[in-house]
Amino acid sequence: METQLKPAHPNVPQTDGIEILRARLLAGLDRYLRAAGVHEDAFRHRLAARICSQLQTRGMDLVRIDWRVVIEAVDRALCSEYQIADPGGEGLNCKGRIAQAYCQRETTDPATLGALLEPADGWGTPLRSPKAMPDQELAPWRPRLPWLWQSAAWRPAQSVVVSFCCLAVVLVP
Amino acid sequence: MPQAAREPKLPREPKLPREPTLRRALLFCLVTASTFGAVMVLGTILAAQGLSLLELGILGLFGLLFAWITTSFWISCAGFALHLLGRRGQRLHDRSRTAGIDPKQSGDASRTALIMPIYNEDPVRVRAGLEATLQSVLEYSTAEHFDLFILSDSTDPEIWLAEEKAWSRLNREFAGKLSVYYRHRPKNLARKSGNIAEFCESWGYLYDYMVVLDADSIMSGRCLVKLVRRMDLNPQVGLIQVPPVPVLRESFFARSQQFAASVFGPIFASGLSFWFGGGSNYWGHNAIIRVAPFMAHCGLPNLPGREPFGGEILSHDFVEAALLRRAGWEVWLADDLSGSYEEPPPTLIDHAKRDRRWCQGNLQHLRVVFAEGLRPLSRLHLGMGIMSYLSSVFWFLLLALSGLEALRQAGTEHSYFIEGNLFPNWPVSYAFEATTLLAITLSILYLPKILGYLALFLDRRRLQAHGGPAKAGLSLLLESLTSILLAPILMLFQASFVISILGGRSVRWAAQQRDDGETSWAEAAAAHLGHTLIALLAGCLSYLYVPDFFFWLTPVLLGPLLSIPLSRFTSRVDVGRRLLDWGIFLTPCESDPPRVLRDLARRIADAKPETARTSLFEQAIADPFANALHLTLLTRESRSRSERLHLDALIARFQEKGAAGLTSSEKRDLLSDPESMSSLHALAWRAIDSGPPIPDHLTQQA
Repeated sequence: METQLKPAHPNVPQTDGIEILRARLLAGLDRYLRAAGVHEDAFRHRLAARICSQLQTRGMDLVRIDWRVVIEAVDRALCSEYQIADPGGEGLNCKGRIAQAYCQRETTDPATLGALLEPADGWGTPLRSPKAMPDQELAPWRPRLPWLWQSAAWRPAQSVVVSFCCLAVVLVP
Repeated sequence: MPQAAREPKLPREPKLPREPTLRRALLFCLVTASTFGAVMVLGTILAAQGLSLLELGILGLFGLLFAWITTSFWISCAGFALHLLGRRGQRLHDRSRTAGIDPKQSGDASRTALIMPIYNEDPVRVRAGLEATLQSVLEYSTAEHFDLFILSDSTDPEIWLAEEKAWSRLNREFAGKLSVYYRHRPKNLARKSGNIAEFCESWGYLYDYMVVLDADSIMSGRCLVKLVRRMDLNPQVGLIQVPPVPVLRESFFARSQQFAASVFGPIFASGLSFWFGGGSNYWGHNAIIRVAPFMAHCGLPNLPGREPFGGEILSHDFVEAALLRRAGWEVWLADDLSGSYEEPPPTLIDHAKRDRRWCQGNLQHLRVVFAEGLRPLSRLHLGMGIMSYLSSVFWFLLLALSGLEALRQAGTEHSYFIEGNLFPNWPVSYAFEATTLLAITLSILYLPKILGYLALFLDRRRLQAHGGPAKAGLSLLLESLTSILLAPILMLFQASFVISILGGRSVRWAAQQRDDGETSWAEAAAAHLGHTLIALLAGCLSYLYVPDFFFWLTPVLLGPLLSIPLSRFTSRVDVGRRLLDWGIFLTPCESDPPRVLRDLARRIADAKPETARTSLFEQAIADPFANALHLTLLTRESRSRSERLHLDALIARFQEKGAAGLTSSEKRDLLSDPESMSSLHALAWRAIDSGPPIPDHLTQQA
């Protein structure tokens, strides 16, 4: 299915009144929360009402709803519900939606939810501590005069010579 | 989950015990003596009327090839002797006791990372394999500390997103028991070796050891725990390789390979371990590696020059083993450990495709084999890797030169009277020598198979698991027949690979075919038409000009001549299953599968295929969970103005034309950028706000 992204209500007249706009936002939030897996009606309605109030308090323009802000508010509200620490700042924190999805399934123990979602750094990986692996030298060996006096270099050659001597004793007669 | 950063352990020069040089000198003597003897016999036959240049060429090629097969023969003989004596895998344990090396003081448990580098692999199979391995670890021991890293280099957007979902499920399944991590590299520099190096550079400081797994690797918990304990007990060891047993495929071709590996593999592995000891090799996966020395000594440089010989080192495993050895660390082959598995290529063509990559990687070692400071044994391993592909070219040349020699001989009439000599010059027959040489060559080729079969009788349970004496014997015959037919085809494949690589053609990095996909007639014809034509041409020419030689050549020509139907037939799963029902090519992993494989098979069967109603890319945009999961796994990178403009243009195009308006690479660009994915998610919800109800398949992906 192709998802066509076009605004459904580009021009909502101001005269509709604040309640209509609020009802529209609530309906949108309800849909979003349902899609995010909040199936329990009472919980969903409570969350939607709280998020809506928070957005209104922050002075959100209800005529032209910025869905980025709405989704951030949903994440924050879900984080608070599941007691997931909000890192604050400008970093993306989408773990509210993940916590909601995980709690939907019985497989996730609510007690381990915090440990699952709140490792020290990020989520997918532990803390990085970059340390470069030095490139090794693979230049071809070139004969040098001092090499002839090194016993380490001689040992394989000695083995080969001894092996050939043994062979000569066996094969030549 | 690692709570605190560990101080990286500095690699120290291990005190190496004396290496078994006498044993290696003995192998050298045996191979040289056998080859010398065979060359002398052939030389006597060829030199009846003086050696020509052509005959010298034949003699040289024969000597090289004979040395090659004799090495395998003596390795198998040693392995068989060890099986008879019941002394498999004893050496690594003995070393720690006799070398006076203190084993690791057991204060805290060693930390081991299981790492799986993946590149566009089937996420369902990857997840099932990892689940089975982790479950087996938990069942066997909880004392050892294991973490899992899925290191993705995938470029296909759908596979990338599917991997994230698979990771999410693994993460929840093993929450509180094992840590499962996922990392996706936006740019896959230096392919698999670069992927592993990036892991070491980022998180190597947290771990004592890492176990490298391939996408199709399965390892039992018992095997993993034993590997860790062996590393703890042997601080001079840098790497232990466990021979992976091919399993789980059902096609005729794959099952014959699985049978061969199950019967002949153990004695060959024991032989390798006996002759090479702590100077063994690394096969790229199913091996445990000490992280600190690996980081200090195994950073791979780019080779000078252009591909195929220059650039990134493709077959990194042999080189890494050689570098570890150069730094004084031991590399062992744990021939006695079971519980290490992989999946073989399902068809002859898939086998050849894999061989094409390996061929380039091994020929690239021509630039490494003479590197300064490498141990002679490491050079031998690198040389054997090169020779495994060059031998095909030598075999082809030997056949061609032999044909020419036969033609020359056929055109030469024997002169009974030589000027100045009163006595007639009677022709001398060398039939006895020739027959003896042929018998010796065939023995050297097939005796290892017979030894493998005989080794089954040493263990009654193992013999029964292979179907009993009669069915195992029948399987051995069928496997030998199959390999006689397929060997010349593989020779032609490999010879063409070598020629194309020497001609400067490089290989593309593609994911391996891992499921039982059968070869169609069209695929078989496209891959083998050349082989059929070569066989026809060689057959016709030899029959017309040297009929005697033609009959000698028939065993070699038959395979390529029938290569199209043979390739199609051996790829068939129904034939493989029928043989399984009859108990042919039966292996212990089929007759009595170990728990970890049973678990894997169950998980693969339980995995429901994804409904293809919508792409995961669209889900990652519209579904709140899929979007959040993807965003949390992305790392923020600053974008240049031009990059931002490019991404904005892609968003606009997606709004206008939907997902179909974007190429795979453009989708990947969008998926790599957290800003774009957040914007797209918000735009999607702005668009569907107060629209029609949202289809279920776009949401609730948890």
